[in-house]
Amino acid sequence: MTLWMGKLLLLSLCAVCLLGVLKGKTPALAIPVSLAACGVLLSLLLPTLETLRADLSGMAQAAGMDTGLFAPVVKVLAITEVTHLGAELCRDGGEKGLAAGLELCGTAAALVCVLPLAKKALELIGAIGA
Amino acid sequence: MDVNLIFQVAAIGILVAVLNQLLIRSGREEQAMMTTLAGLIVVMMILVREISSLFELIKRTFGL
Repeated sequence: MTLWMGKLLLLSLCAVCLLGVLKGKTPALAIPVSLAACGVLLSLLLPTLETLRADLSGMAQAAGMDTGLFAPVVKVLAITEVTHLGAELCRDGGEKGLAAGLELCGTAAALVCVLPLAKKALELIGAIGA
Repeated sequence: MDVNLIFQVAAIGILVAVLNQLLIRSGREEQAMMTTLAGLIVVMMILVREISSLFELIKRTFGL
């Protein structure tokens, strides 16, 4: 795991050095390099996330919990991270308004994903109260 | 998404920057702008394809 983190660190530093060269000369092409670096880091992270997901699902099943309840949580986490990355990339390009708009869209998308859980929770409360 | 993607995109960016500077210094600003735009379009086409495949991989990995 330490070697893997070291590899990611070196990759990020290479991207930062390349961005340093590009930002002075062609700022328009610096953002795509930054986006490509983020995409590569995410794709390198995926196997670790898959292992984590499998282990957490196993623990939830062993505890007798409904694993279907975790799908909205995973969706909201993914939406949060994509929104955060996208907003920061927009701020890197000097577009704070665009970043704010993207964050608003991400919040709305996360709320839509959480609605089924909220409805289930309200039904449970209603069933307990009745 | 391969690690080489970063270096491919950066190489295109550096090439475009060099061509941009050459064209500006020889007095061809419009062609320099068109070269920059062409480089940007090429890079965005590569990135859109790769990001689309990344999202598909995320959906498959998490079963979303």
